[in-house]
Amino acid sequence: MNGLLAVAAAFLERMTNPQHGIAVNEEYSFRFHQALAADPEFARSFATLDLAAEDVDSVPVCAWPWYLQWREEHGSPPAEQFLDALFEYTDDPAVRLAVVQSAVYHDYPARASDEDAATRIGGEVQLRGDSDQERERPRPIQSPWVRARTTRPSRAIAPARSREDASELATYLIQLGDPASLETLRALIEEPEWPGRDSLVATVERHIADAGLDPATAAQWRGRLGLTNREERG
Amino acid sequence: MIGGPVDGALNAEIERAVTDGNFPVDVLDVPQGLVPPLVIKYMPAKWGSAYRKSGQQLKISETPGFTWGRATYVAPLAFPLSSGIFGRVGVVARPDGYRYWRTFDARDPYTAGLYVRWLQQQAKYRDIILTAHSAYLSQLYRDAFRQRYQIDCVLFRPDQSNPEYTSIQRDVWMAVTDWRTLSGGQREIASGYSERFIDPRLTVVLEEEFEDEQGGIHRTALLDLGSRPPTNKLAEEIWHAYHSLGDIVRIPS
Repeated sequence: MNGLLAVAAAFLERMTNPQHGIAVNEEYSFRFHQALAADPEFARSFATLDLAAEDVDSVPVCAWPWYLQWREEHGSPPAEQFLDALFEYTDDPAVRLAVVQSAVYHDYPARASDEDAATRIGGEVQLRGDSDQERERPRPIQSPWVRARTTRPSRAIAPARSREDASELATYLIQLGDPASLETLRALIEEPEWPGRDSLVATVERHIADAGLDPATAAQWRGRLGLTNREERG
Repeated sequence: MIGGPVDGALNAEIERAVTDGNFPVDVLDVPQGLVPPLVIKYMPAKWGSAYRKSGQQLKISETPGFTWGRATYVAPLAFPLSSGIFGRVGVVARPDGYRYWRTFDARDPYTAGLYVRWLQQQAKYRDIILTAHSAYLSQLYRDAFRQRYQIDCVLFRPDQSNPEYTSIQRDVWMAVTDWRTLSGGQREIASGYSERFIDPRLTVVLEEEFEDEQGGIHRTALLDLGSRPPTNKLAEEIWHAYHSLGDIVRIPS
């Protein structure tokens, strides 16, 4: 267990649990930022905590979405084992959305692992451009967590579970909507070995249909996610 | 997070409603034409005392439960007591660069409806209206909407009140966004301290204290000593006190 988190648990609970009310949440948020301003070393270490799977229950679950978002602004990517454990810990959509966002986010000011750096070219995530040529070129899944979660040998998880995973992941990625998330979604769609791919495509198509988009916008989204090309390729 | 697919026509409607420099500057007007315009933010005494010193910044509200998500919440000085229900200390500051703010004016029902229509197209919309996760998800979506359309400021009517201090029909509250720029040039909503407001200073002290009733929709006055809060010329009085560098305006209960 991470000692700093254990000590901070009660504090974070008062800062992030809406049941305490805005006044209490904000009081603790104010104290937190005062501590950050007064002690840059505390800020740095808290933003780059080495989190393990067993740390998931060391703070109240309501604190994790806040922490993951704050860490995007100030720290390094959490380890994929921790993200996996947190994703499995609860089916709360707010927490799971935060996990997926944290996993695909590519602008952490501090980078923690060589593995993460190895997935990047020139130190930056490579996002596809808008040209036809760029759109055509398949790219691997860049997020280590998404890659690990979806390329585990069809292996450890049953096909039904794989389909559910795919559908849920697609929903979160399309909902996040930023370039890195959509790039990840497109890479998943183009991943040849993943058994959940058909389910993922069906989920994306359903969301596009449910949004009631005009034909031009729907075509734009489908093209952006590689769905048009995929069909054309047969 | 910036949200999923949105119909092209709706997207265009929102873009038309949020254009560069569409901030309605008259909301900051102080009677007698006093310039520069000022805003006021009330907070508990334990934090407000820090604003006796110069060089402070207003804190961005970033915990769940704020009406328009992560932002700095203030009221124009023309509504000097409107947000006094949130604390005894009124900190006054100058908004910086407001003429250029991209503004979402949610006081207008049509404009507010654009957000509702945008929300209805989001994949997790049903989770907001049909599950227990509404508060946090709702905050995420409001942040996503503001980020997607790069909204610097949301103007809205008070959603918490005490009728002696707040008019939900007339008063204006502001949620102002601070941005941080990513390596690729995109901008995300920032946390920490706001750089949107210059020279915040403790300028007003309220005698009254409030607590939530009806889940916070109503803020009950705990003392209610019978003195009606002054309204005539209060904004001007506070404006002059702020510029006198050290004067405090005291408001009886």
